[in-house]
Amino acid sequence: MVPSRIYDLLDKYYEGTNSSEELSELVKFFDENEDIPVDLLPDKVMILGIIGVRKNNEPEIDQKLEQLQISKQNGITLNWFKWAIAASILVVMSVVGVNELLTTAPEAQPIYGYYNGKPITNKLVAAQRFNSTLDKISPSFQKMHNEVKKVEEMSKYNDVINKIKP
Amino acid sequence: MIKKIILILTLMISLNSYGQENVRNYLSSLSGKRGFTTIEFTPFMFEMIRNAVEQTEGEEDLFDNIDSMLLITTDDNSILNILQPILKRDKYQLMMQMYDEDDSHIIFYGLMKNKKVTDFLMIIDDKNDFLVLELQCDMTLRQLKSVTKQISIKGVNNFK
Repeated sequence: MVPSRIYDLLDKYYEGTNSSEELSELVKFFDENEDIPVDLLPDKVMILGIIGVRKNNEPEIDQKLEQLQISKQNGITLNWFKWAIAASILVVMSVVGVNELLTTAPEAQPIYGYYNGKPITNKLVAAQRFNSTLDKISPSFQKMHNEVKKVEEMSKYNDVINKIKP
Repeated sequence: MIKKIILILTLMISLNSYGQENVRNYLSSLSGKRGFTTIEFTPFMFEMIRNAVEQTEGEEDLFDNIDSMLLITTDDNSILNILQPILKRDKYQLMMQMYDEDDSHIIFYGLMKNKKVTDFLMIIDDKNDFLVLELQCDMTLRQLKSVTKQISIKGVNNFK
């Protein structure tokens, strides 16, 4: 059972507002407890990882804590550690992710059209649909073309008539 | 004061145009709706056809200047009631209309920009069934004439 004080201290830790005593208390808690609940494991990594705690290495802990305290006095809080690590992880993940996508992702399938809103990605199906579409519109275009032809011929006659007009 | 008026006018114009729907948007919105069968061909399809079909010497290829095609068939006549005001608002020109012996009515509209047809629309009103074809293109009237000729003569056979 984790005392609620630890959670309070963790909150303060991420806000960068706990004192050196409180920080020591957190370090001690994570360092000495073998049964850390799963939800606190990331916090354990965060705290022990940053400070580099090793058992029976108290002078080193004190030294690190002192350094952190100095940083804090200079207006730098522990928060930046959290953000720096998160940013590094994101950068690494995105670089790895992009490379992964570039090397392994299949080529995006071309979309030739949509039938009732559903994409047509198969070339043969697209060609069949296209042919049946042309089949539908072809007679109307034939009519249109015939009409245009008639109008053109009429205008030719008009030209001739205009030329022979006295 | 003048600045304020200009600002208000600009806002009103942009809001007004934001809410407006063009022909393609309206027709595309019918995709997948009950009572409508829609088929749309993307620029990718036309690119594929252009690459596949051999260019006939001295003759412009049929799909050189067509970017996309949308065909809708339906028995819902409300499509015409919605389309007509949009065509009028967007200044589509009536190019031709024909009444057939079988009582069908075919209307051709074109949207002209810089002496070129940028949007071509064919509406077939067959009393009980309606067919709307929209071509997004960039062609002169002469090219359009050539396209109609080629579609009517070659029809589907050319693209098998």
